[in-house]
Amino acid sequence: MSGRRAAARAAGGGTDAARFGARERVRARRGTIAAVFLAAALAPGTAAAAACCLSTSTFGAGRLAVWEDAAFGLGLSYATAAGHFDGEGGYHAHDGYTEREGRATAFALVRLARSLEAGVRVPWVVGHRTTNDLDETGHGVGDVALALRWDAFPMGTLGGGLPGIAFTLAASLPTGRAVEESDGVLGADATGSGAASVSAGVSVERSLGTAFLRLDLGARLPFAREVNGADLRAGPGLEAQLGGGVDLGRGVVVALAPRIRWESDAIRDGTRIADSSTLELAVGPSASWEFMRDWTLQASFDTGLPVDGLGANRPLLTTASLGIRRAVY
Amino acid sequence: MKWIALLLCLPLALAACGSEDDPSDAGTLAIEAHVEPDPPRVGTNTLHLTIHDADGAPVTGAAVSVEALMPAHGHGSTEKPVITEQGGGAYTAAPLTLQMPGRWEVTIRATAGGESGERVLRWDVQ
Repeated sequence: MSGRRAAARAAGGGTDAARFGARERVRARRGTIAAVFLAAALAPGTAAAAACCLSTSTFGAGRLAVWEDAAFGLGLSYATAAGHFDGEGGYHAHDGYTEREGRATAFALVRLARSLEAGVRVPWVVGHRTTNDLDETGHGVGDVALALRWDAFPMGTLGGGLPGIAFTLAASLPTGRAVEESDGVLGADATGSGAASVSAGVSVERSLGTAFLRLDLGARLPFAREVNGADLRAGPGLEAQLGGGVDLGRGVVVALAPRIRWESDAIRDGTRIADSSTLELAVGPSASWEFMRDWTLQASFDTGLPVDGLGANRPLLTTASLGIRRAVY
Repeated sequence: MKWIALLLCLPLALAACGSEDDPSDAGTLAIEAHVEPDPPRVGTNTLHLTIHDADGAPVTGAAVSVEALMPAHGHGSTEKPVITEQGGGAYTAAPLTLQMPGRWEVTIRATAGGESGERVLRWDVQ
């Protein structure tokens, strides 16, 4: 363990060590670790599934602990759509149609300055869709995501029990294959949205001993692209996620995070398309395990609920993810 | 923190920039449409069209286009339908591919003899 890492860990990841005794420092450190792995475990779930229709999460590519200089890893996810919500929020189970997606996402994070870090996610997407008489599979690189995170007020620096605050900027690049470029009928080989987008977010984090609470708020602005000879822009959107986790000891962190994402009506040639706004609600647990020094396994499960009103103009997605992360000092 | 609030509200402000889409049909050419199967399914369908002018006479030799769009998902269809004239003002557009369940919008445009017509169909494909 490097001197920097040891010093930072002993201080509880930036917490003012002078205010705590040894036990409190350990508890604060575990809370900070929970925060880091909660952020990392949640990011893949929100970014996965339905490559053609979803973009990368507003919340970027995870985060580094204060004692880390970089991190990298690989996430694997499997998503399926059991049904979809219509424009009025009614849920319809799919009958005779299946949609599955596998995804391998390589990610890397690097510290640019004391409170500034950058991340990148590069997904490889495999799609499979069937109807009663069609069966298609396709694959390819998905939309690459870039992210910046600025820890404006790391946890413990504001004093008085105030939470830490961080800001994120992210961009999703249309490196995947758009639906209109598909070689198949069902578009199983569509691996990207076809349009770039930028997003900004704020994360509020609070460590409570070995537990951790985190609120993410974000806004996303997609760019227009040409579809059927017209400029089509997906609706600008808002996203919120409330996560809570606890460090169980022995390197195990568990968390639960409901989230909501809303997009306004799509816009075609400057004209709003009525009833095209979308709503997604989902919740699921996640867990991480530092099984050996610097190496962490992450797992998450994320699903919407097949209940009228809990979605609009979106498939009901269920996603399971498994990843591995290596920290660098 | 004011700029944070402004940042979060930006998408809402931008969303309000566009006016409501008018779903009504437009033009002097009347376009009748029948999809097969009815209701349309996920996959390939066929659109049968009949075009009349303002006097009710069938229109032959029209330039017809059919475009499918899934507005909420921000994409179109994987295939572009081929328009075939059947005679007597009848046309077919096939394949009309709706590759996934959800709300689809299909825009039909026709021009002939200096006249034009447009019809927009909306389906929630199961």
